[in-house]
This record gives sequence, structure tokens and C-alpha cells, in this order.
Amino acid sequence: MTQKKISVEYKSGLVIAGIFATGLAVGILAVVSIQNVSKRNEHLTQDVARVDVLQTSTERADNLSSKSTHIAGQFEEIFKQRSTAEQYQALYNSLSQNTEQELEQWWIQSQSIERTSHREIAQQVILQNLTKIDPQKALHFLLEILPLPNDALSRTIFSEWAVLNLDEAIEAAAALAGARRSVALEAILETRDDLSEDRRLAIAVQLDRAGTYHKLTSETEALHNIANPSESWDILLNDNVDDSLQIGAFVLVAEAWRGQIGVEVLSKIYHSRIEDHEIKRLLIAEIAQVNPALVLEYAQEVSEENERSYISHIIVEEWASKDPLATLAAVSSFKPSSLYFDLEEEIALVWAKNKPNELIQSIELMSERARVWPLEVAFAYIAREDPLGAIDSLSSIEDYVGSTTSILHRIVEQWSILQPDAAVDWILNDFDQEDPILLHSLLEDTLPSLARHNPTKAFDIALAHPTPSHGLASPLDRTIIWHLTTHGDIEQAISLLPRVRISSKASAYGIVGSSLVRKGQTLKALELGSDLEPQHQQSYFSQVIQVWARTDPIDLYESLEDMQSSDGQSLQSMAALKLLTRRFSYQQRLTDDQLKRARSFLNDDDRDQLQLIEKFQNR
Amino acid sequence: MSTQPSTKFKQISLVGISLGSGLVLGMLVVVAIQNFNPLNSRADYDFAQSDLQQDSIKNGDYNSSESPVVVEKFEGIFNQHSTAEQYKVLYNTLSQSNEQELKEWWKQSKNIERASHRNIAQHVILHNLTAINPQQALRYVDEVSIFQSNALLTTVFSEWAVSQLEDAVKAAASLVDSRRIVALQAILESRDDLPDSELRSIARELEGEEILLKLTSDQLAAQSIEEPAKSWNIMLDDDVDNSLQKESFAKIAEAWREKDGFAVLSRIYTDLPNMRFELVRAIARFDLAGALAFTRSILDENEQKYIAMVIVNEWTRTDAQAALAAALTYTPASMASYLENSVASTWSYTNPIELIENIGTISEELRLGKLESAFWQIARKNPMEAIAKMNSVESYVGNTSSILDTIVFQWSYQEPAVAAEWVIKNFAEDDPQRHDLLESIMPRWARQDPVQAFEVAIAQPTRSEGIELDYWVIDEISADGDVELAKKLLPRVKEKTRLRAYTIVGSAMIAESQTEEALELGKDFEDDQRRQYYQRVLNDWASNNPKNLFETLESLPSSSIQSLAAIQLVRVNRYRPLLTDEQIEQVRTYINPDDEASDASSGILFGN
Repeated sequence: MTQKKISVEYKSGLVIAGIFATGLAVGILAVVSIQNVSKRNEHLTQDVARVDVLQTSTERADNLSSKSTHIAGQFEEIFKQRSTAEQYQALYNSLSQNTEQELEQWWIQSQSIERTSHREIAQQVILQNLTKIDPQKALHFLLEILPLPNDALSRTIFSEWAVLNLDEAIEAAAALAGARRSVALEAILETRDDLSEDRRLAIAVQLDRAGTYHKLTSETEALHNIANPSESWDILLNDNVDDSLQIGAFVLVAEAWRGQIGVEVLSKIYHSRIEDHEIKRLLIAEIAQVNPALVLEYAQEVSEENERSYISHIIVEEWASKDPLATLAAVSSFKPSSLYFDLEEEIALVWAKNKPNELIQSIELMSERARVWPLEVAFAYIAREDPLGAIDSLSSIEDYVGSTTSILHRIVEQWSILQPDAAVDWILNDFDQEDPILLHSLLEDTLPSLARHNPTKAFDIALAHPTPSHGLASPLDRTIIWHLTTHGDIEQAISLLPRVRISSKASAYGIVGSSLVRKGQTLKALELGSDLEPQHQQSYFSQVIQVWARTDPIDLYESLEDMQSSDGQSLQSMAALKLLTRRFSYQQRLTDDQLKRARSFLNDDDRDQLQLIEKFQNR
Repeated sequence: MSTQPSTKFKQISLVGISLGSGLVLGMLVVVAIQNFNPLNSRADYDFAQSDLQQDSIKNGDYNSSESPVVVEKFEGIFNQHSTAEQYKVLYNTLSQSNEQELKEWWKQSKNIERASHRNIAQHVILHNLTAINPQQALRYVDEVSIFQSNALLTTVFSEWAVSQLEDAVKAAASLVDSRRIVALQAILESRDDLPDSELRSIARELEGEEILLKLTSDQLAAQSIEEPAKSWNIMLDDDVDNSLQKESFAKIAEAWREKDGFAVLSRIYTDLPNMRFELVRAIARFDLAGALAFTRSILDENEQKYIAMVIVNEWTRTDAQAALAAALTYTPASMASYLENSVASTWSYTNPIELIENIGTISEELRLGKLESAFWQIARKNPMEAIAKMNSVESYVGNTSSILDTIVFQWSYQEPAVAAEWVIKNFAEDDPQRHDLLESIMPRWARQDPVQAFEVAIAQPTRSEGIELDYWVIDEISADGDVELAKKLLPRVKEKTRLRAYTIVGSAMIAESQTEEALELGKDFEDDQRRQYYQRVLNDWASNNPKNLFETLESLPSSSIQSLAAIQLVRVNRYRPLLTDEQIEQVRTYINPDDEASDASSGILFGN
């Protein structure tokens, strides 16, 4: 009986234990389930719904088309967040569990986000997450969909990639070209600052960008020493990196230095061994812009004149672009007076470029010696928009300068660059033509521009206006030939040569012939000479051969044998003489044997001439 | 019968109690286990903020420098296997933090050794802190390195502009220039939802209208980037100073190059003359050989020369020998020579020692000039080293005296007295090179110690030809503005130097408006010398202050001086027309016929 009772009780105990255990298990499961659900809810703040990723691939494919609408909706919700920090948080939470396909959809939808700032935030997080799964695809999106180099997104991808799979990231960077590769390398090096320096350098070398590594290293070292900015400065100066690639770093160090020693940093910059003047100028300008009045006061007291002048010029150039009147007042007490006048003129020039009308109206504030050139600049700027208005306004400044002629020249020259036909037509039809010298000089300013658009018309006008007999004027036809030749339109110049005036022929042909020689077309240059009348050939060949001897004496020497004489000109002898007389120049390149052989080509007259020259040189 | 329901009730109760107990116990067990091992199960989301508070309370204050909990949390975060995960965890963790907690996170972030991790952490911390207390976030920006501060400034102001635009703008206005521009840019970029008028107003308030114009133009250009030429023209034609858009032009040029090759270099040359140098360099830098090959097809001589020169210069900085080899293959030969010259020049100052060692590879006619340049660079650091190296190049140039001259000249900028001593010690008195070298030292020495320099100068033997050393000392002293000292030394100058020295001092006196004294200084000279003196001094007067000379004409001491003065005024006015035609006519009345005749051949007098 008892055993039966025990057995029953045992069974009951087991049942109770089982029920208890069931309760325990259910309790555990319940807590875990509740926590998972609440975690899911926490992934999105407020009302953003979480997509259920537990779908079959078939279901997923089917859902893609509706997904785009869904994603668009999610973007809307994300960017309703009250702060960008929350937007980022929401995006990271939304995207971290997505598959590659889903991220692709997010990417596609992100391109429809109109607001640039939102689109950029979205694309950054998308690409970062996509890189985790398929960095090649992320890079493909960056390069194919965004054709304009986007450094920020490139850095995002390569920062992530470098952490996940360094070797692959390096390989991908190597496949990029130009600046893209440099940006990728920078991201890799900045992110993998856990690697040894040797390894980092090796990566840079592998990517053929050792300079990038050196730049980063140098800047890091400079940064570590920033408590002593002069040391940081020296680090940047003495590294193996071109200073022009570190302008940003120099500016930051200079600012830190200024914080330490004040405006005296300007002298430090001036005396430092920065080769590039432009960099020095930029650095001084950066320091000056904080308080130009104060730095100008400092500059005024600098004892060394060159330094005082250098620094002051840069400061006034910067300051005058913002407040020319204040700058003018500040320099008024500068010594010596030569420096004051220079600075005054600089202020006026900057003023003229920035606010030409204002400068013109205020010109009486400038001393007389500092008026003409700035007025030329101011009127040239006005002429870009309104050349006739600029010409009409000349009368307003007649009382302030001795003559407005040089200003008129600048206006007309500027006009001709933009509207050569209109400028030339005005000179021919509307300009008071009583002064032939002035008329000629105005055409000299404008016809070259016209020649580049309409050489025939320009040349016709040139021929119709002979050179005034007095003055320093150049023949207009020759001027046009020179411009066409120098600007690469030599064929056009050659076609106009037969029409050149007799008085200009020799020099015009000489200009073209010299250019042909410089381009290596020596045979053509010699042939061109045969078109000339005999009385012009001597000077033509002399000029051409002179240029030939200067630019390629070896070639001239080697051509001696084959040179033909032309109408009595012994070209061989002329060429030999040029080569032999050039031996007194430091640029001589022929050997003694070659010079000796060259002598054998001299005719009697040229031999005599050489002897005279040699006698003179040897005395 | 009543017993059965009671038993059943007990059984049911027992079952219920067992089940219920098991349920409750199971729940408690899970919670207890999770709380016992926080890091493993809560690494992602559930850092217990109360832990942080409790630790701080235990320590007695919130500002304890040691906060192991935060440090551990950072460790946990940066154990994540990707940076995306790190960002996610950080954003989730910090989004729940209050200001005090974020401050503690910030403090601890400064102890993160690895810069890349520290940057990530500080970015997210400030991002979140800005949403709560942007002024504090801004103060924290001052605590980071100068190289990081702009990036964090952007973070702060991007967030601030979204949450409290007016305050953000006010705060930006109080920043110094460069920071204000960074802040403005961040505000404009993040608030691209605002109408143009409001953006313009913000830009104006922060004195950065050109920044807004630039951003707008950049965006427009970016939209057309499929046709780089179009983007290029958009940026050229906008109202923004091109110099502010250098980076954008560089980006478009790079895109253009990728699409159409190096033809963009010609556009850079033509359209952006003020920044062509940097842009050509930037575009050519990564394929210098390809860029140089392109230049061979350029027709315009000047353009070809310029672009090719920039390319080979850039190439020389990294591989001078390759650059030289490429330059020498250029046709025609004149261009090859031009480029060789350019390479050698750049080589001489970027790597002077390497140039010296390879001077044999440079054409003979270029060697001396480039060696002078290279030795100049070396002498800047160590003149004696430069002198010692001269031997190595003798066989390539023959005469190295000009190189020594360059070295000594450079030396004179650093230690003129020491340089002079070396020269005097190493060159005999009658050696012409001694004089030449001292001549190059004198001006710098005169600036540093004029009296000592003068004493040494007048102690040197007088030469039969050429300018004496004392002239250079007087010249420098006068140029330096110390006219009084120059006047004091004048009586002791050598006879040969006298006229020149007096003229120099007279000119300096004119510049100081000591015109009467300057005229007085010339009166002791004999006729011919007196004329020369006055011509020079009056020319200076006419150049510096023609109106003043014009007004003083009548009161000049003699008619001959008046005549000379008038001639100078007419001459100077030809090129700087500050006097009117009537005034010039008046001036002409002072010119005497003899003076007119002697200047007639110049044609200048008639041309005005």
C-alpha cells in the first residue's frame, strides 16, 4: 500500500516539477521574445516601421517593386527627424541588416531625393553599409553614377573597405587613376593608423603615391608638435613634400603660431625658406585678414626695408579689396615716401579692379603720381561691359590727369579683345581722326585682335593706313603678320605676305621665316626667301640663319653642304659665318673640328669679316 | 462527494502555482543573467546609463578623469568589425545620453590613442551634443587639433543650423574669418531647403556672399558634368571670382580629362590665366608623359611653351632625369632647348646636389648658370660646404669664379663680415677676384655695420678701372635712408668715387625732400661733373615729384639749373603725363638753346 502511495506521490512530484519546468521555460522564452520585439522597435525612432527581413528570396524579388515606394516613404520618415544626428541614427539602424539587393534599392531611391543635403547623408550611409557587403559594387556606384569626383563618398568607401579587407582595398585603389587614387589612399592611410609606418609607406609606394604618405606623416608630426608652432613649421618646411601641397597645413600652423606670438609671425613667415612666393604671399594674406590695421601697424615698424615693403604690399592688397579708404588712411604715414607711393598705387590698382566706378569717382584722393595706371585699369574693366560708356566718361577725369590718351588706349584694347569688329569700326568711323599718330596707335592696339577673327579685313585696314612718318609707330601690316605667326596661324600669315607693303616686306618675311625655323621647318623658311626681291633677300636670309644658328646650330652645320645659293646670296658662307661668330657666345655647341670645317664654306668677303671679328674678340 | 472538488481545486492550484512560479522564475533568471554580464549581451544597444551615473556618484563627482566604464564602452564599440557598425553603435548609444553624459564621453574620447577612432567618436559625440547644447559643442571644437577643427566645426554647424538656425548664424558671426567661412558653408549646405533670398541674407550677415554664389555655381556645374565643357562655362560665366573656385575647376578639369584627354589643358591656359599654373600642374601631375605628349599638338607657340614648361617642371620635382630625357626628345630643337633649360633650372633649386652630381647630362651652354643656381641653394644652408664642392664641377665648366661669386654673395646675406674676412684671407690684394667678391659683400655689410664696411672699403687698393668699393657702401647707406651718415662719410670717399657718391647722396636727399641741400651739394664740382650731378638729381626730382619741381622752377639758383630741370620735366612727362600741355609749354621756356641742342638727337623734346 505504502509503495503505491509513494509511487503516486513520486508521480505527482514529477508532474509538478514538469509543470514548473514548463513555466520556467515559458518564462525564459517570454522574456527573450519580448526583448527581441522591443529591440526591433528601438531600431527606428518614433514611427519608423522596421522591414521584416525574414522573407524568402522569391518573396523578396516580388517585393522589390513595391519596396521602392516603401523606401521612398522611409526616407521621408527618416528626414522628418528633428536633428541630423537622429537622421544618421535612423539610417544606420535601417540599413545595417539589409541585403545587397535591398541596399541597391535604397541607393536607387536615394538619387530621387531632391534636397542635396539629405541625399548626401543618405548616400554616405548607404555606401558605407554596402561596402560592408560588396565594396566593388559600392565603388561601381560611386564611379558610374556620380561622374564628378566625390571625395567624401570615396573616402567613406575606402575607409570602410580598408578595415574589412585591406589588400582588396589597395587593389581597388590601384585601379583608380589620378586624384581619385590619391583620395582613396588618404582614406586608407587615415583609417588604418594601426598599421606600422613601414607598412603604410609600402601601401603608398604600391599605389605610386609615396608623396601622399609623406604628406600625411609630416602633417601628423607637425600636429604633435603644435604646442611649439615654430617646430611644426620647420617640420613642414623640411619634409620631402612640395610646399604647394601643404598650403592648408601651413595656414593652420601659421594661425596657431600667431596665437602664440602675435603678428610677429609675419616676419617668421617672411624669413622662412619657402621657395614659392605665392605660398608665402597667401600665408601672410591669411594672417593679415584677421586684423589688417594691426598687422599693417606692425609692418610699418619692421626695420628691414625689403621685409617692410614685402609684407605691407601683401596686406594692402588684401585689405584694399575690402576697404580701400581705410587702407589708404592706414598707409598715409608710411616711410620712406617711395614705399608710401608704391602702396598707394597698389591700393588704387586693387580698388580699380574691384570697384572701378568708385575708384574713378574718388580719384582725387590719390596723389597725382598714383592716378594714371589705376585709371587705365578701372576704365579697362568698365570697357568690358560698356566700352562706349567708358570712352564717354573720360571727360570726367580730365582735370585729374595730364592726358587721357593712355587710358583711351586701354579702353580700346580691351574692347577689341571682346568685340574686335565693333572696336575697329568705332576707330574708323567715330573717332576724331585729326591726330594720325593717335589713330594709328589705336589701330595698332586693335587690329591684332581683329586679325584673329578676320585676318583679311584686318589686313585690308592695315594696308589702308600707312605708318605716320613721325613717331615710333610700327607698320600695321607687319604687326598683323607678327600676331598671326606668334599665335599659331602661320599659314594665314604666309598667305598675306605677298600683299605686305614694300617697306615692311623684309621684316614681315623675317618674322615668318624665323618662326618657321623655330618650328624646324628650315627648308620652307629658305624657300620663302626666294619669293623676295633680291634687295630684300640679304637681310631676310641673315635674320633666318641667325635664328637657325641660335636655336639649332648642329642642324645648321649639318645642312651646310646642301644649302643652295639664291640669286647671288651665298647661303653656305652666310651660315658658316654665323656659326663661327657664335663661337664667342657662351652658347656655342660645335666642336673645334666642326668649326674648322665650317670655315671651308666661307667666301672671301665673309672670311675677311670673320677675321675682323676675331681680331676684336682677341684684343 | 465534497472531498473530490476540494482535491481537484488543490490539484489545479498546485498546477497553477507551479506553472506560475516557473514562469516568474524563468523571467527573473533571464533578467538576472543579462544584468550580470552587461558587455556581451548589451554591446549593441543597451549600455546602462545608470552604470555611468552610479560610477560617477561613487566617485563623488561627474568630472572624474577616470571613467573606466566609458573607456570599456569605447573598446567595445571599436571592436566592431566595420566602421559602419561603429557609427551605428555610437549613434544608438549616445542618442540616449544627456548632456552631462555626453560631456563625460567627450572627456574620455580625448584619451583614445588611435586617431581614426578618436575622430569617429568625437564626430558622433559632438553631433549629439549639438542637438542639446550647441554652445558647449562649439567650445569643445577648440580642444581638438587644428587639423581636425574644421571638420568638427562643419559637424556642429550642420546640426545647429537644422535645429536652431538663428542661434547658429549668430554664433557663426562671432567666429574669426576662416572659421566663420567654414561655419557659413556648413549652414548653407545643410539648410538647402531655405529659399534663395534667405540664404543670401544669411550669407550677407556672415560677410560671405561669394561663398553662396560659389556653392550655387558649383551645384549648377555639377548638374551638367556629363558635358564638362558646359560645366566649365557655367563656372566661367558666374558672378564668382574664379580664384575662389579653383578646387571646383580642378574637379571639372579632371572629369574632362577622364572623358576627352588632355585637351582641357588648352582651356585652362586660355580661360584661367591667373591660376593656369596650379591647374595645369594638378591635371598633368598623374600622367606627366601623357600630358607632355599632348602639348606637341598645340599650335600656339606661347601656349605650347607655357604648358610644356609647367609639365616638365613638375616632372623634375619627382624625377629630374626622366624629365630631362623627355624634354630632349621634343621637337623642334628650339623647344627641346627651352625645356631642357626649364628642367635644369627647376632641378637646381629642388635638388641642387643631385644636379651637381649629374651636371654632365646637361648641355654645356647651360651648365654654368644652373650650377650657380644650385650652389646658391647649398650656400644658403652652408657656404663652406658649397665652396668645398666647387672642385667637383671644374672639369665641366672650366672657370668656377662666377660660382664662387654666387656663393659669397649668398654668404653675405648671412654673415657679411665673416664672408669678407674669408675673402681677404684667401685672395691676394692684387687679385681682381678679391675686389669682385668684396663688391658683392659690401651692400649687405654696409647695412649691418656701415662704418666697418666703409673702413675696409677705403683701405682696398684703388683700381685703374671700375667702381670702387666705397661707392657701394655709400649707395647702400643712402638707400637705407641714413642720409646723415652718408653725408658724414662723403668727404672721405676716394677721388674716383666722388661724383658718383655725391650723386647718390643728392638723389637720396631729393627723395627726403631736402631739395635745397641737394642742390647745394653739387656746387663744388667743376663744370662737366657739376652738369652730370644736376642732370641726375633733377631727373630724380622730376620723376618723384614733377609738380613740385614745376612750381619751384622759377626759384632754382641758376638759369643753367633751371634749364636742366626743364629738360628733365619734359623728358619724364613724355612717359608719365602728369603736367598739362600748357604747363609743358611753360616749362620749355626755361630750356636754353645749348641744352636743347645737346638733347635734340633724342627726339624726346619734340614728341610731347
